[in-house]
Amino acid sequence: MKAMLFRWPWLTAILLGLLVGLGAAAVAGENPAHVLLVLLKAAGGTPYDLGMTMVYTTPLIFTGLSVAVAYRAGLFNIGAEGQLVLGGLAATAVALRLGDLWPAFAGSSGVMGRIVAMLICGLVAAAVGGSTGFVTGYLRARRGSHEVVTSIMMNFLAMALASWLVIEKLHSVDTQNPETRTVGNVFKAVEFSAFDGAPVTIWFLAGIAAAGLVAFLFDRTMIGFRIRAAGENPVAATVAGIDTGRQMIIALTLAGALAGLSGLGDILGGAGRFRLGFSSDYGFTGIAVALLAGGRPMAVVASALLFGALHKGALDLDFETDHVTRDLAMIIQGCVILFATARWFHGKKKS
Amino acid sequence: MNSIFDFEWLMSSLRLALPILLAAMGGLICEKSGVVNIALEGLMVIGALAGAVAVVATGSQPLGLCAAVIAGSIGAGIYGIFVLHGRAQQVVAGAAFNMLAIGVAPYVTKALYGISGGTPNLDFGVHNAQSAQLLLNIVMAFALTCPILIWWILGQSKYGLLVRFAGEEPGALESAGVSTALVRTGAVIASGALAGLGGATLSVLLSSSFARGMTGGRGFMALAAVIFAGWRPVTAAIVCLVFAGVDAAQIRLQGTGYAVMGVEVPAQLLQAMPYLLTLIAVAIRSGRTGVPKYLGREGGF
Repeated sequence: MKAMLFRWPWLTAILLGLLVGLGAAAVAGENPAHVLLVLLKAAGGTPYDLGMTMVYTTPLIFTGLSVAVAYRAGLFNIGAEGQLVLGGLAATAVALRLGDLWPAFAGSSGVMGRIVAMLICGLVAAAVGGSTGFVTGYLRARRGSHEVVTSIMMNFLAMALASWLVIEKLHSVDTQNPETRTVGNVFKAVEFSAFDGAPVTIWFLAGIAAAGLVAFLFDRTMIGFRIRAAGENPVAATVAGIDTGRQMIIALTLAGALAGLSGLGDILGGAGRFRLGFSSDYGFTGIAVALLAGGRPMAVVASALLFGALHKGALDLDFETDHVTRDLAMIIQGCVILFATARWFHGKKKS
Repeated sequence: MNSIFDFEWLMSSLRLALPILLAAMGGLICEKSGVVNIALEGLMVIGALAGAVAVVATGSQPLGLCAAVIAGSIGAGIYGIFVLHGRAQQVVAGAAFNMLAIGVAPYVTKALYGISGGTPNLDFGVHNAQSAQLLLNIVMAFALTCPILIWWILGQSKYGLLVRFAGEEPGALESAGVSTALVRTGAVIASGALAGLGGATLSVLLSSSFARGMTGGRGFMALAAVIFAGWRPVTAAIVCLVFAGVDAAQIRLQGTGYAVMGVEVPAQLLQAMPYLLTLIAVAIRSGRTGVPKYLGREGGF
């Protein structure tokens, strides 16, 4: 048992996090076994539940990758939340505008058209998210402003900007809800039909592909090598002639671009419109996802699935239990990260 | 325009400065000792929650504030165990702690009152209005003298010297036979007490209930103020007052509407002003000066 705890500190962190969460549920007067059962059933009990878990996993893969890329450069991208809002909103705005200009294209449903539309939305979202990340990176590298503080402020600014744009500029006339019009048919993400109506989109696969690309970038290319070098030992990297500031800017720009893509599955799948507050803290959960994965891109996918399942599972706590709410997921999540980042279980080699 | 910045604006600025100023002072002590404190936001949430819960239970505002100080200290103690004993990455642990605190708040209110949105309204009754004002004045006086007090403690007293050594030269501290971990633990707990009190001013003094999302990033703004001020207490307090002044002005502008050259300024932009100001402030002043040498680093143990 002890050997296992130390071999896989991430597993220990998950178990301890669950233990605290279920313990809290027990203190509140719930049967922990019942809570665990609700979590498991709601996360994967039916094809629909499993599908919804994958729907929540999709953005987490992207935000997890975003945080992981920054983490490799020795930086923290707390700004994913704002980046995904701005990227998603920009993609929606462009899709709506193109729909106004070329109604014939927007209404079509040909395969080529959908691929082009997906590329357009992806590029716009990545560009906007990336520029947001660039600002954070530039301020960090050239002005020395701490990226955590600047990116948190950028999150608030992004929310304010999105709220203004959605309510004042892009608001749908058909509803009182703070949401935009529906994008044209061609822009809607391809959905898989195997999940009884759960809107699992092509962006889930895109996320896995992105993880592969990021893994390739770090393991096989000079760009990735330089970023890692700057992150792991800035002094040695500088001596070797690497401009560490430049690597910071590249890493945070890339992180922003990945975060910018996070919302597209939610926005373009299902409803096909941007809703204010559509992200249930995907950006912040991305920190947990990346950390548990130790910054390894392919592990991010597994980690995202775990947190996606936790998120989906916890939603049912609201009506399946009397004394706890979905917020229990935040307690479990917070504890998992705390136990994962503490070095009690890391054994000797990593100290 | 000139009608905005009157005496009433000044008073509401001072009131709005309370939570962020107290949290900033806590953050400053903690960071001076070499421990990064992103967890300020979560500590404020805990303080705001504990304060409101205690007022509901006892009906007494002062007891609410005491509970907030205790809860904040305990919360910071937990954070301290992870970052000091567990040697956790401090920024990550801080972000995780915030998540935990944000999850704990609805858990507690659900368990106690059956609702996850916040506490019920704290009913003080009309006859208490005077004592409420007195308490607000006392806390205000404390908050305004706090920066000077901390400046004196850090600069002149033996304890301050220990804290500064923990942040600058933990090795020297260890050589002198003082445990860096112990000094840092003290500083972290002090930050929890102050941030907790700051959070409670929001729920107990400035409004009359705890509500979800009540802190609204004030912990982060407090931290930004500390960094912008180059880890100097009095300067940090002034920065906090400026933030609060902008906040107070934007709240009043929202009421009246505000136009620049005939164009109505959207409410969202006004609300975003404090955040924009913080961003600009941190961008202008890099935070490379005055940073404790061992901030976020282990050392000496």
